[in-house]
Order: sequence, then C-alpha cells, then structure tokens
Amino acid sequence: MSTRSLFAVAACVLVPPCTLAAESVTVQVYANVLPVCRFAASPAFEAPVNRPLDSGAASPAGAITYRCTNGLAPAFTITASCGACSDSGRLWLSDISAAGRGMGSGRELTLVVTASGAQGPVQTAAAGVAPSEVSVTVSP
Amino acid sequence: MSTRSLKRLLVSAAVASTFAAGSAQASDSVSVTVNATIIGVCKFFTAAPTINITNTGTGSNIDPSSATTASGNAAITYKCTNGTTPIFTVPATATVTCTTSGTCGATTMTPTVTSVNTGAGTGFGNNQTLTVTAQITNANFQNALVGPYSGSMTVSVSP
Repeated sequence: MSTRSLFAVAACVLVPPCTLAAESVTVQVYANVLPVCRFAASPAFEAPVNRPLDSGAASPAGAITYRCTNGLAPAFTITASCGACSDSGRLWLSDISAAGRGMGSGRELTLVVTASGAQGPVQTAAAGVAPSEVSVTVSP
Repeated sequence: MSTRSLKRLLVSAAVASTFAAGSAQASDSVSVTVNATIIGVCKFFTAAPTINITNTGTGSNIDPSSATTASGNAAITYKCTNGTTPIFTVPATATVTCTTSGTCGATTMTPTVTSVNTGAGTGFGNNQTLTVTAQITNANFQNALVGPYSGSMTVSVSP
C-alpha cells in the first residue's frame, strides 16, 4: 500500500466517514488490420470471371471488381488453362497498381482482363467448357 | 510506664498502622477503549491487463473483409472488503491509433467498451473478476488502413 493510501486510511479512521481515492489500472488495447484482398462477392462479379472472354471482340476483355484493405497494393496472377489458350502471355491485366481503398461499399476497384487480339487463342476456347476459363488470383 | 517504653509503643503502633492501611486500599482500574474500523476498499490485482481485439480468433488480427464484429476482453482481478460493493468507472469507448509511421500512422479506430463484474467483495482472500470487453464493428474497421493499432484506457474502482 502506498504512503498516499496509508494517509487516506488514517484520515478515514480519524474523521469518518471518508472516501478513499479510486484505484486505477491501465488497460492496453491492440488491433491489427490485416492485409487482404477479396474479389467482390456480388453476382455481377461471378459472370465475367467464369465466362470465357468475348471472342467476338477485337480485344476481348472482362472486368472484375475487387476490394483490398485500405492502403494495400495487391498482387495478381493470371492463368489461362485450356488447350487452345495455354499461352497466358496473351492475356494481361490493367489497373493492377491501384492500392486498396478499403472493404466498404463503394470502395471497389476494377481489374480488366484483356486478350491480345481477335486472333488470340482465347477466342478459340470452347464456351462453357471449364478448361477454357481464365483464372485470376489476387493476394494477399 | 517509663517514657522510653511509651516511645517504643508509639513507634510500633505507627509502623503497624502504616502496613495495615496499605493492605486495605481498594484496587484501581481504568477502562481502555479499543477501536478498529474495517474500511471499505477495493483494489485491482492484475498488473497489466491487455485486450486483443480480433475477428479471426488469432492475436489481435482483424480481417477487414469479414462482417464479423471484432471483439476482445480482459479479465481483471479485484478484491474488496467483505460486503463492499465496488463502483467501477469504465470508459464507453477507447481509441486505438495505428502505430506504423508512414503507412497508417495517426489513423484511428474507436472500439466500444463494456464491462461486467462478479459483484461485491468477499474479503481480500477472495478474487473477483471485472471483465472488460472492447468491440470494433465492421463499419469501423472495414475501411481502416492496414497495420497494427494500439491504445490504452483507464479503468477505476472505488471505494
């Protein structure tokens, strides 16, 4: 017990009633906002990701929306896994350098997947066949 | 009786009188009042309570993409005089500030703080527990800048 408390107790004994000084403790609080990216979970997101790129366009493209932790720069990888379009080098992503703006509504970012041209192998991928899908992965 | 004999008799009587008078006195006494006052007092017995706020179940990690409210608590041991009801002062909110200078420094989040306790003291031989809970809602963390945040708050008890 501190000297101050002893004096307080003595004062209580000598001059009751009395009020002792409140006892305090400091509570430390920690939180760590993780770096994460997520493709938007809305149905509008699913369609362009899962469908083959439009082979009728001169430069077929599909837009994907995603969100990242505010301030986080995402990393993307893209693969095209089908017999006719195994050359993923013919695909590229735009706007990959945009940093995340948070996970809230209206904070989405757009990633555009573009094929190299009308004669690109993606165009020849059979619609609806799983191996003709283009896979885009974002991390973290 | 001679004068000499008379003196001896008087001296003997005086001595006897003195001893007789001393042994006949009543004993004296005094009442001593003894006072003791057990004061009502409460003390904390957890030196450094810590709250890790999380919605992942790991450390203080918050996944900002999760809709789950991030929460954490600290169990603070206290003891009070038997029969004394503690009065706790717990802030309604706390502020945590990002500690990574240059990336998210100076940005803050505001956890809401609540508490429950196990009631009146049962003496200083028995522990009681004040559980302080801090929560950060999805609306508060979903757009927070990435990084570690920390802060502190003061919890008090009286008497």
